Amino acid sequence: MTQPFRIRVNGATVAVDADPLDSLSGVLGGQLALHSVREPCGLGACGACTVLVDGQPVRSCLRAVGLIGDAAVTTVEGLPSDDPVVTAFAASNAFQCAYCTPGFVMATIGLLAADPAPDLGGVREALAGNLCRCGSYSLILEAVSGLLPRASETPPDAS
Amino acid sequence: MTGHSERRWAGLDSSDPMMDALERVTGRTRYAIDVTVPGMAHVVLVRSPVPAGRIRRLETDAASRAAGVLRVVTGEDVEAAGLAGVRFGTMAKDQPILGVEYVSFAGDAIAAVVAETAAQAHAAAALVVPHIERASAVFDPDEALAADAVTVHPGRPDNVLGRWQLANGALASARSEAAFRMRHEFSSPAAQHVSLEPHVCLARWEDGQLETWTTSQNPSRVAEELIRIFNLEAGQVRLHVPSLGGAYGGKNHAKHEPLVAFVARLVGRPVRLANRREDEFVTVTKHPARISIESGVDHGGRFVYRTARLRWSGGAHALSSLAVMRAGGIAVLGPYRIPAAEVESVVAYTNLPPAGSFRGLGVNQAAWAGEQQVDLVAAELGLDPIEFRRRNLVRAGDRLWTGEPAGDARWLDCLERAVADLESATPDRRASRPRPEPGLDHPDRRRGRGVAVVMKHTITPSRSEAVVALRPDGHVEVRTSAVDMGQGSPTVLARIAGRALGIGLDRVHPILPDTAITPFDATSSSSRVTFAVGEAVERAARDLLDRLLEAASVALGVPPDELHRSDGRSIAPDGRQVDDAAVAARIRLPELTGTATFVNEPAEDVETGKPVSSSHWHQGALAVQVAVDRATGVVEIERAHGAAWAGEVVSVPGARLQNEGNVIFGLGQTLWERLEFDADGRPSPVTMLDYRIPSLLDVPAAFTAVALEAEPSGHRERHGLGESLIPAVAPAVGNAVAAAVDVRLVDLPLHPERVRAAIVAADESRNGGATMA
Repeated sequence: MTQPFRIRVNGATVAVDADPLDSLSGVLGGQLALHSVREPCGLGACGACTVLVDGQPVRSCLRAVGLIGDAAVTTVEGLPSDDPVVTAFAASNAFQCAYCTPGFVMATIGLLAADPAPDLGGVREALAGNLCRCGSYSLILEAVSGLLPRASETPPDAS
Repeated sequence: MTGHSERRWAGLDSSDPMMDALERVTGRTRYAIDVTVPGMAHVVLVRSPVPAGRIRRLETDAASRAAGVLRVVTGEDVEAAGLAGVRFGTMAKDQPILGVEYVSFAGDAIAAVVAETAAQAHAAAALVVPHIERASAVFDPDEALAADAVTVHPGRPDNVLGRWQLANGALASARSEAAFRMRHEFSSPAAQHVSLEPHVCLARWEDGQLETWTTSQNPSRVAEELIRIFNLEAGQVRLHVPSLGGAYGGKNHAKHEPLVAFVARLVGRPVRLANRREDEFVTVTKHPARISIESGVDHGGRFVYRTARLRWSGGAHALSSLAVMRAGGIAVLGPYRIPAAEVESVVAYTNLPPAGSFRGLGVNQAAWAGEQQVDLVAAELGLDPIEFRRRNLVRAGDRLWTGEPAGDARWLDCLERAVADLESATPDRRASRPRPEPGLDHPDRRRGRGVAVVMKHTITPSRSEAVVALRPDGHVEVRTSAVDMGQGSPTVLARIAGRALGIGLDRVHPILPDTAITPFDATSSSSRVTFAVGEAVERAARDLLDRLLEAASVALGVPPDELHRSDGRSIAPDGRQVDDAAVAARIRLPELTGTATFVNEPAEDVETGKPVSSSHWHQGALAVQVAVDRATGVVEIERAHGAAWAGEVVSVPGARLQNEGNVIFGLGQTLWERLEFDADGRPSPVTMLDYRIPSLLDVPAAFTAVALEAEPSGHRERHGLGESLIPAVAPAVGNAVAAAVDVRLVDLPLHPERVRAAIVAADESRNGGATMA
C-alpha cells in the first residue's frame, strides 16, 4: 500500500506517496521526474541508477524508498552546473547514447569523495559495476584520470 | 572565406566535443520513456509459454476484474476490428498485430492487458490463463529446412524465409586445379543487443489522427506501416523518435507499434508499452548461424576458389533476416582475390524469438567462419596468416569474389595499420587488472596474436532526404529522420550543414525524427547515416546557400557569385555585409529552405553491366594479443588495435567512440554472450545479472581503434563507422587463441569453460586418449 512520507532529495524535502518497499529509483525517476535516474536492469547489475545517499554511491534500484529516512539523496540534477566530474565527462565526450552516463557521474563523485587519488586500476575496479553498452570506456577513463591529482597520473617505472 | 585548416568545420575543430555533451552528461537528454501524455494508460503483453500451437481459449475474467484494469485485449478484438489478416514487416509481411489463431514462439504476444499503472497491468497479465493446443516445434535451421519438418507458419510449408545464391568463375576446374583443399564448419549462437534502454512505444489517437513516440531506427518505415495497417492518409500519422538509449540494430523495423496503436484506439486512451529487461530477450536476438566454408589454394599461397554454405535461424518473424542472409553471404568469403566462388545462404523460420539485425548484420557470424578459416588455410601452407592475407587481399583495380570491381579498396591499409599498432603498442600499465600486462611467468599462461579483416556492404540503393531551413531568427534547422541513438548523428549532421553554409554550430539546430516535419529516411542502420543522410544534408545546405546568396545579393546589390561567407554573414567584395537573420527577416516567408534527396544508386559494373552489390564497402581490420590460461581457460585480451576506413572524419571524438565501441561491444559476444534455448524454445539468461556484457575491467590494457582518412586533396567520401570493426573481433580473438594454445574453437563464445574443455580434449587426443598428467 502506498503512504505519504518525505525524503530529502537534491537539497529539498519533498513529499512522496509510495509503498515503502518501492525502489528509490522508481520514485526518483517516476513521481519526482528526475529523469537522470533510469532502471535498465532493476537488479543492481548495471549501475545506471546510481545516486548518492549521504555521499555514498548506491544502486537506487536496490534501495527501498521507505528505508531512506532523512538521508540526503543526490542525483545529477542536484549537482552544481560547474561540477568538475560533469565538466570532465562532457569535455572528454565520455558517453555515446548516455543512458548510463548520470550513473557513471555519480559513481565517480562517490569514488573521489572516498579516495581522491585512486590509481587507474582502482578507478576501473570502482566503476566496473557501471555498464556502458556503447563501449565508451576509454574516454570515461580519460575523463576520470583528468580529475586525479598529478601524483596518481605518474606512470609506474618504465619497463 | 577565412583560412580554415582541413580540420576545421565551420569554425569548429573536428576534434571539438559533441554538441549536446552537457545535456547528455546531466541527464537532460529525453528518451521515449520520459514522454508522458495526459490520460496515459499502460499495456503489458501476455506471452505464449509454448513455442508452437493453436490458441484455443484465453481465460481473461480474473485479469479483467483486477485492480486498475481497463481491458484485456485478445485476438478476438483484432478479429472484430477486421484486422486479423494484417501482417506487417519491412522485409516479409509476417507479423500479426496480436496472435489470433496460433503462436509461433515462446514469448509470442497473445493478449495485451491495459491498466492505469504498469504495475497493475503486470499483476493482471499474470492472471490470464492461456489454453493453447501444443504443436511440435522446430528450433534448428537445418532441421527446419528438412523435407519432413513441422511448419512454423501455415502457408510457408518449407520454412524458407529467404535464399540467396551467387556463383562466379569456373568452379569445377578451379577445384581440380587446387593444390590444397580444406573445408571447415563454424557456428554462432543467439545473443541479445542489451541496449540499456528497452523498447518503448506510446500511442494516442485524437480526431482520427495517430501520434506515437517510439524507440525505432526507422521512423519513416514504421509510419508507413501504421498508415497501411490503419488505412490512414499520410498526414494522419505523426511519429516521433526521441534519442535512443542504444539500439545496435535491435530497434530496426516495426515491432510493438501496430499493437500499441490498436490498443490505444480500442480503449480510447493513450497507452504506453515499455519492455522489461526479460521482454527484450524475446523481442529480438542475433541470428544463430551454421556456416561451412571450403577453400582451395595453389602452391604459391593464393586462393584458387572459395565456397560457403550458410544456414541462419530466423526465428518466427523476418525482421532484418533477408539483409542478414545476404550481408553474411557476401562477406563470408572475405575481401580476397578469389577467381572462382559460390555461396548459398538460407534463412529458415524457426520457433524461436525473432532474430533481427545486430550490429555487424550477419557479417559477425560470416567473419567468425571465414576469417578463422583463412588462418587454417595459411597454417596448412606453413604461411604466416598476415603474410597470407597480404598476398590475397584485393587491391584497387581488382574484383571481389562477387565479380564486381573492388572499388576504393583499403583493406590492406587497414591491416597494415592494425598490425603496426599492435607491434608498437605500449600497454597502459596503470590501467590493467589485476596487475599490469603480466609476464608469462605462470606455467599455464600462453600468449598469442591474431588478426581479422572486415568486408561489409551498405544498403544499396537507399534514400535519404533532408531539409535545411533558415529561420527568421537567423538559426538553421537541419531536419532529417536520422535517429540519434548514441552514434552522434546530430553533431555529425550539424557539422556538415554548418560547413556548407559557413556558419558556426551555435546557429545550427539538428531536429530529431518527427514525421510531421522531418522528411523520409530509409533507416538509421547499415552504418549509413553519416554517409547517406550526411550527403543529403550537404546538398540541402548548398541548396539553401544558393537561395541565401540570392537574397543577400538583392540586399547588397552585388551578384551572388561575388559574395563570400563568414560566420553566418554574406560579405560583398567592398566589405559591406548582411547577417543571415537580416536576410531571413526580409523574406516574406516563414523560412528559407533548401531540400535534397540522396540515393546511393548502385554503380554499374562496366564490363558485366550488372549493378554492384554495395555503393561502397565498410572496411576494417583488427589485430589482438591474448593471454590464455590453460588451467582455467580464461582468455584475456591484452592488446587490441583496429583500423577502419572512414574516408573523411566529421567528428574526431565521434569516430573514436564508434570504433572503440565496435571492439568493446564485440568482445561481449566473443567471450561470454550466448542465449541458450530450453526444450520450449525459451531463452536463457534473461537478466543483466546473468547476461554479462563488457565492463571497464574488460578494456584491453593496450587499445586503439583508429579511423583512416583519404588524402585531404580531392573528393573524400564520408563513411559510417558503426560496424567496420565488430565483425573482426571474434575471429581475431579466435585466431589469437589458436596461436596461443593450438586449439581451434568453432563455436562462440570463447568462455573459459569452453576454452578449457577444448584444451583438455586436444591434450587427450595428442596423448592418444590418455588423460593429462
